[in-house]
Parts: sequence; structure tokens; C-alpha cells
Amino acid sequence: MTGLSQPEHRPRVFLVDDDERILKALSRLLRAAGFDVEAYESAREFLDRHDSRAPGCAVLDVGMAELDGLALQEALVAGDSPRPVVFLTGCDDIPTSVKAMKAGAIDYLTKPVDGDALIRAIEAAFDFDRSAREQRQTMSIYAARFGSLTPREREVMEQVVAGRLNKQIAHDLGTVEKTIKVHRAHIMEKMQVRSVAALVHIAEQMRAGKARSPR
Amino acid sequence: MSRHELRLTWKWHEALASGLRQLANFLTFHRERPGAAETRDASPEFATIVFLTGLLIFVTLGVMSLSMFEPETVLNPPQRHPGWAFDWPFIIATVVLIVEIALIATILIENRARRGAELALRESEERMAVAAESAGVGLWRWNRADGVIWLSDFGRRLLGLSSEITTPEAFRNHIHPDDRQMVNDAIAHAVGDGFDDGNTYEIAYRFLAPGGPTRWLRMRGRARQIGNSDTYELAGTVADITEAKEMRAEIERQRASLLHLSRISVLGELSGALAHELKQPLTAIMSNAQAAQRMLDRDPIDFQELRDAIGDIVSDDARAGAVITHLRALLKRDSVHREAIDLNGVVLAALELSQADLIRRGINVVQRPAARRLMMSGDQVQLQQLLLNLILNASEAMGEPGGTLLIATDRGGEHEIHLAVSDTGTGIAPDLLTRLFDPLVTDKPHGLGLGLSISQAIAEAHGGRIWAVNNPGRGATFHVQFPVLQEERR
Repeated sequence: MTGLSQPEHRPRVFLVDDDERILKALSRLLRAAGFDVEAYESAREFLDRHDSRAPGCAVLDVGMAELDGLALQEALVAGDSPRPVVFLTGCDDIPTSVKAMKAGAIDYLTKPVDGDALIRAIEAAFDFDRSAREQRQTMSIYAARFGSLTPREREVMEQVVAGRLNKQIAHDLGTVEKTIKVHRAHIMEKMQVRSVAALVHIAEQMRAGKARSPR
Repeated sequence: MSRHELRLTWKWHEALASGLRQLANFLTFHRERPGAAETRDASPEFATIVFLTGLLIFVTLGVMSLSMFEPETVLNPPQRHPGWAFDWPFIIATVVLIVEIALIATILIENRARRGAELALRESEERMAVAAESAGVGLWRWNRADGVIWLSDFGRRLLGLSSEITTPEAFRNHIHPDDRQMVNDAIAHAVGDGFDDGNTYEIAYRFLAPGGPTRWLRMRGRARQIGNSDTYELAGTVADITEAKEMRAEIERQRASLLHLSRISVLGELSGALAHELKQPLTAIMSNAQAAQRMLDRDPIDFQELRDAIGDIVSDDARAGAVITHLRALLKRDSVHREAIDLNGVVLAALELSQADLIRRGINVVQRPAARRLMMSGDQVQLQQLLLNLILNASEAMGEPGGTLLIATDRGGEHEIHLAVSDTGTGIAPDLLTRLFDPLVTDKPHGLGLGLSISQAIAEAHGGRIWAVNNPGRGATFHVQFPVLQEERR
């Protein structure tokens, strides 16, 4: 709720529960707590209508008749901009909760749910969503910069990041040290870094980002 | 027979009187009511008649001979009455003799007819006995006047009784002690206050045959007046229904265990479904209430929204209440299944079910059951549920191992039986004490507050009541009181 000055970037709570009265009550509670809420009475409706790019988190009822919370979570994780999920459940079912947490749920709350606990979980989900979005944004910037390098420059960058000297790189690529120096200057400029250390950091992040499965 | 001969020899005047009465009856065509009793008495009467008739013939012949051989008459034949034609004493004697002979002939004919009837009766009785035997039914007759019980041969074999046993007392000794009163009552009822002809009765009771196992007998009887007398007899049939009884008991046992299982599973499903049904309105109530709290902290307050939230709280609370009402109705409707139950048995069954849990929690169980049976009318499964709730409640109140659970039962008064479940736990908070049995009231972090509410519903469905007190020392005691079974109120 803090630092969310731009209205279009304010995170929302996507609330899905097939009990209309609970949906209404939870919406009221969350609105009173200052959240923007979008309420859906069925998982299907939610999947069809919600804006998957909008920031925020989903609060899902586990025991829904048509498409239950866990199946909905799977569908959300599979999308290109995964959304953090907070589960609400009517019964304390350990296997289900373990499954939900393993699939990356932020929290798993038992009904009747305490408003403060729910708000804390939603805030944690927002934090998670924000950092995940920032991360994704940074990665896409890095990817764009990396994309602007010529094939030759990418080869040189790999060697530089691996900690090799200009002389060694020139020898490997069958050229002179001066040419490598020029490539190196271009790389630093295109990747917008001033030191080799910063370049190594970006390369590591990109490698980690590729390895890590998106949430 | 010998008894009657003796009577004839020594009490000749009685025989004479009897003979005269018989003669008078015969001459006036009087017929006594025919019946088994008279048939049995016919032979001695007949002997009396023969004896009396013989005596009369003897006397007549004596008179005749006296008149014929009178010395005077022989020596001086009377002049006035010449020839046999006018010998009056002789004529009278002859007429009497002819009447006597006719009388004897009539009696002989009648006797013959009676013998034929007796034979037919015996044959019919034999046929009856064969039919009764093939039907597995023994015949009996109890003459209340002489106190002798007659039992058909098959009946004796059925009961395993020798022919020496003929008195009611001897029979009664073989009836199961618990059933004696019932048999007495049935007979007394059939006989009535005075005597009412044709009263029938049918009872089933246990019979301890000498040297054999206990057998179930079905006795049908009928009271009947003997002749015109004040005495009456009971007669009827007896059949062995042990096998049928055992089979029925086995079927009943299987049915009961099946019912038990299905009801246990229903109760399990019920509480699961109930929990879900209750959690929905509770979630809505909680969220609306907390939303309202937050709205109050805002400036300006949106009164319309606040009013809506509170309105929703009220209607969701009604929704939760309806769930509870529904549960109570379900329990009441279910309680149609009533049977006579020993409360001590219910306690034992509930302890058996919770034994593993009690051991795991390290709780000592002290039982103080009443010395006698505590019979009540109720539903075994529901009462077990009540006991289980109280036991679980007590063991949860004793957080640490080493607590003591005391279960006592006793006769709480003339019309009540009483159950007490005590624990050495934390006791009940004073503010909770008054609304302990209200639904959704609990002091457990994860409790729904339904156990005691359900217990109260069960107690009330059984016409009983439940209450709780804190012990003077540690812990609390839950008391339950039920009305005692009607039949036990003595």
C-alpha cells in the first residue's frame, strides 16, 4: 500500500470463491483494508476474464465445485506471468496444503480466516509479486541489451566473463589484442556497465534466471 | 378301583344312597352333563347299581321263597285260594323280578354305549397326541383342585421331566428364576379375580430342564371350569422355541451391529459435513465483522457500507443457527430407535473406543459404576457419542500427562439415573460456565464448539439434562441425568 503512487500499477487482489456471501464479505474486508479487489465466483470466470499482466495476487478457495483451487493454481503457474497465490480452505487437509505449498503458494489459511492473517499473507504475496516483476523486468532489459551485441561481441563477452585476458582471447579467436579491446569497449557500452565486475554480475543473473523456473 | 371297593364294603350306606340317587335319576330320565369328569367317575357308580340291584333281587327272592314255603301253607293248603293263580305274594315278587331284570338290561346297554364313547374318546385323544407330537407340541392339563399336573409323554420328553414330577411347585422350580413372576402373573391373569371361563394366555419363558441346557418354551393355556364346581383346570400346549429364539437373537445381533456401524459412519460424515456447512457462514461473519471494524477507523465513515456489513453478519448468523437447528432435528428424528440400555454398558463401550487416545495422553481412568444395572430407554450410538464427547472434552482439559478421568454412575433418585465425568484439568472459565452448551462456544484454539452442544441435544432427546460444575479442587465435572426405564421403577 506504500509507494504505490501510480494508480495503474497498483496491485490487486483477485478473489475467487464459489460462495457468493463469502466472496462479498471478503471483498468488503479487503476493500476496507485499502486493497483493490476483483471478485470472481468461479475459477473458469477468473481465468477467462482477469488481466494476467496486472500486478497483484490471487486468493483462492481450495474446495470449489467446478475447478478447484489447486487446478487453478496449476493453470496460473503455467502462464507467462505467474501470479502468487494465497489459499483459503474449509478443512484442514494436510496433503492438500503440502501440495499447494510445494506448488508455490504464499500461504494456506483455514476458514474462518482471520482478517489480519489474510492481509499479512496478501501483503507478502504483493511483495513477492513486485520483486518477481522487477526481476522479470531487469531480466528483459538485460536480454534486450545482450540481444544488441553482435555474434562476435557475444563470443568475446563470454570469454571476458570467464576471467580470461585480452591476449588469451585474441589468441583463441585468431585475432590481435587491439581488436579485442575495441570489442570490449563496445560490450561495456551496450551492456551499460563500467566495470568487468558489473558485467560478470549481469551474466550470472541471466544464467540464474534461465535456470530458475518461473513462478 | 380297590379304593372304591373298600369304600363300598365299609360305607355301604353311602353306596346305598348313591345307588338310590342313580335309580331315581334313571327313573326320572335325568341326565347329568356329560364330560370327562363323569366318564371317569362312571365305573364306581355302575358297581354301586349292580350291587344294589343284586341286593334287591336277593331280598325279592327271599320274600318269594318265604311265601311259597311257609310251613302253614305247606301243611294246610288254604281253602279260600285254591291253585297258583291267586298266590299274590308270588305274583308281586315275579313283577318286581321282571322290573329288576329290565333295569339291569337298561343299565348294561347304557354302560355299553358309554364304553363305546369312552373308546372313541381315547382314540380321539390318541390321534390328538400323535398330531400334537408331530407338530412338536406337548399337551398339559393342570387340575387346580387336586393340584396335579398331567403332561403328555411327548411333553415330558420335550421338557426332560420324569413322570414323578406332577406338582406345580416342582414345575415352578424348573422355570428360570427371572421368568417365574411373569409366568405366575400370566396364569393369575387368565384365571382372573374370581373365575372367568375361556380365558386364554400365551407366554414364552426359559425353562431349566434337569441336566440340560436352558430352553425357551412357548406355553399356551386356557382356564376352564370343571363341571358346575368352583374348581377349574388349566389346559393347553407347550412347545420348544429355543431354536427360533436363538435365531431371532442372532439376526437381531447382526442387525444391531450393522446399524451401529452405519450410524457411526453417518455420525462421522455428519460432523464433517457439519463442519463445512458451519465454516462457510462463520467465514462470512468473521470477514464482515473485521471489515466493519476497519470501516469504523476510517474518516469519513461510510455508514451505508457499514450497515450492509452488519446486516450480512446478522443473516449469516441466522444461517449458522439454521445448521445447528437442523443438526438437532436430525438427532431427534434419529432417536426413534430406542431400546432398553444399561448405562454402565454404554460407559464401558465408550471407554473402549477412547482407550487408545487416553493411553496416548497418559490419563488414568477411574471407574465407579453403580452396583446394579442402570436401565434407561435410548439410542446406544447417540449415548456413546455423548460419552465420547465428555471423555474427549475431559482429556483435552487435562493438557499434561498424569491427569485422572473419573467416570461414575449411580441411581440419582427414585426416577433418575446419573452419570458424572470428572477431570483434573484446568476447569471451566467462569464467564464460559453459563453458555458452555451453546453452539460455537469453545475455549480450544481449534475447537468448533459443537461437542457439548451435540451432547446437550442428545441428553435432551433422551429426556435428560446435562450440566457442568468446577470441582472444589482441580478440574471440572460434567453431570448427566436420565429418566430411569419405566419398568425399573419399583
